[in-house]
Amino acid sequence: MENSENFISNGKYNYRYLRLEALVNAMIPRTPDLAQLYGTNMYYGALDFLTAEYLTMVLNYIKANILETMNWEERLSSSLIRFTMLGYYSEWFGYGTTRLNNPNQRILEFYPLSWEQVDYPGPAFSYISYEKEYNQINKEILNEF
Amino acid sequence: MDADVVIIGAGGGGAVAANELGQKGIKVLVLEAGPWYGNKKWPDPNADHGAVSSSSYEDLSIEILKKNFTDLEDDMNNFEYGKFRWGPANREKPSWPRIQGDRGFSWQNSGVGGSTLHYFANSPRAFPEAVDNVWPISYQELIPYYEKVEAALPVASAPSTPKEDIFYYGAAKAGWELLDSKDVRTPGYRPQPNAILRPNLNGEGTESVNPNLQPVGCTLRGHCVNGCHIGPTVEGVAKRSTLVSYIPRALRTGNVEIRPNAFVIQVLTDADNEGLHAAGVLYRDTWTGEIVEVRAKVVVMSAGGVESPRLWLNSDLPFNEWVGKGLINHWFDCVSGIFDEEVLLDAIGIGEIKPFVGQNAAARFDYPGLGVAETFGFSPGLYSSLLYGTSYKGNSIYNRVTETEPWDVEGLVTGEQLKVFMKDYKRTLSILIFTDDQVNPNNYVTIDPVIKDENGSIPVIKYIPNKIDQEKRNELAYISSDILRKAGAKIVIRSNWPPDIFIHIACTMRMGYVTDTNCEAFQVKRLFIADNSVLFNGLGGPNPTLTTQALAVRTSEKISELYFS
Repeated sequence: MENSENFISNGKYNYRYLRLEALVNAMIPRTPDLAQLYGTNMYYGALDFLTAEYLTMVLNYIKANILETMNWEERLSSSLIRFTMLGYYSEWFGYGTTRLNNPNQRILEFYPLSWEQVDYPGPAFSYISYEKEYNQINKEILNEF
Repeated sequence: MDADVVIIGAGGGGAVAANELGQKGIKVLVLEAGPWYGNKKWPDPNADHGAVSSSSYEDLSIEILKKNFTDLEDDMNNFEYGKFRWGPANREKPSWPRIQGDRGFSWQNSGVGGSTLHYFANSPRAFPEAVDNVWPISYQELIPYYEKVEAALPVASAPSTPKEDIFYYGAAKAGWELLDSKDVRTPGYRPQPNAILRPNLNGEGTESVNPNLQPVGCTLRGHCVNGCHIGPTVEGVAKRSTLVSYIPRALRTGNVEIRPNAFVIQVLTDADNEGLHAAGVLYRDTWTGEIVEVRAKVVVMSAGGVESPRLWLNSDLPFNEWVGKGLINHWFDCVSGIFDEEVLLDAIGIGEIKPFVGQNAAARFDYPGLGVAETFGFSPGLYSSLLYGTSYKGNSIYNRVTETEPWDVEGLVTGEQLKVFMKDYKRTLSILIFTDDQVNPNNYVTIDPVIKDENGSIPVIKYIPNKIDQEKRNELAYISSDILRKAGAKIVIRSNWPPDIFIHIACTMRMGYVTDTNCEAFQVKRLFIADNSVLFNGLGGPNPTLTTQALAVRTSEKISELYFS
């Protein structure tokens, strides 16, 4: 699959790409107000984390899947919203220079800044220290009812 | 003959049938459309064809599984190219197409383990009232099979982390009872009965897995959906997908061979004095395109709620008006609450919920007659796309919530509001709703008359719930919102999912309509069904896997009695 199609070989700023940029920007915009309230990292949005590239890549997959006779553009409007959020809040931007490679050839180079925005620490081996048993909760928390 | 029994699909049902038949000394060949993760014969299953098949327990490799399952949600769960997609092992190829309603997707996995690769491992029984005097067999008849699967997986009560703590707190405060039976007849809440090895560094309580193992059990790291690989061996992995539970056990019988990358495109039949009966299958190698014929005495369809009826129709098997018809989907919804730190501190003694901590769905609320609500939480990409990016109510900024509705926000959340809500990701509790939707012949899986992919005419899925389904779902959304409010949520968000989110796809080849009570097709002898499609109804709302697995054990007994005694 040519993931780099449409924004490298055809030039990054073609019409389709601009449309996707407009979409992701509306979904997850830059937010200077939030940056003032909560810190600089809250400024950045989908344009900064190249979510339109992600959408282009996913669309190339969907296009290859859906045969020409199917009216795919119309069917995709809601999937695009879901994919925008998956692209933005998942690890994808952290693949850095390998982000447009075939999925087997990507390497996580850093944690995406979107994880900082939601305070997600990334995968951990264990959270065993949080464990409680229901009976314990029942005693500590619920016995008042 | 290539085998006594050929099983189509190594997922939630097929893997169980493979083990049960193998235990009886019957030679089984399992054909699986997707890849095999955690096996030495496929060290890089998404990049290379690898071997044709494996029939040895010794081929399993936890090191390879740990390499394959990366914990990264786009890598594992991207619906188009993730390792857990519905598509061929080769990720340079697109996923397999389906035609379905506009806003949805069908969330199923190809691969050894099938959709249990990503499932939450929730293993409740059906509600007795949804089976007794409704199904052609009684609830009582299912119980010994439930018990057998519960012991084999094994199923236990889920431990609790903050997201469950706050749910229990809200449910108790809302006045609901704690349920203490596996057979649920009245509404209430309870720790999830799930197939996840207990957090247990000593290995206690896990003897049924394999006494030689030293399982470490679940570490509550929150990656059930992204592929669990926690354990000292493949068979000792904490979340009991069939990849790590029934498949290793099946291999140890020495009677089971499994071929991944084998998409069955046709069921072959013969007609003789016995009448029309199954005689084998044709499958297509997903890497090379080669078509291979396999002959067997009995064929078991375990391809799932979409692919089993598709395969029947693509095989030109005799017309039966119920093939594909009666689809239930539990019409899901999602209701979430955002909490203040102080409120959480007061309620559960810790200021954060952390949706990424703990088993993905470890507490539940059951209401026979309405359905189910269960907590869920996981990594932020999938979480945001399901909470805020999935609705059929349009953008929440255009939805006015009325005074009688207990939520504050309904529909898609985007823009600055999305970032504000996601900033509180760590203090968000989500509840997933499964509606006790009714079997309706107008909801179905069929094949497109024109469009084909490399595996034949492609499936079309149509599902439009009726008014009663809608009312039940609404009531569950009210109850869930109330639990969140009672727990102290400051903001409640109802996603209001479209009907076309297909996760619990079932009842498309129903017992009593397409098959007899042995799960053997009325019109094609020696053709059995062991997947969600054979369920008579939606069980009243409970997650379908355990019941499908119990039936698969029962069906294997019937196969053995009828054809191999």
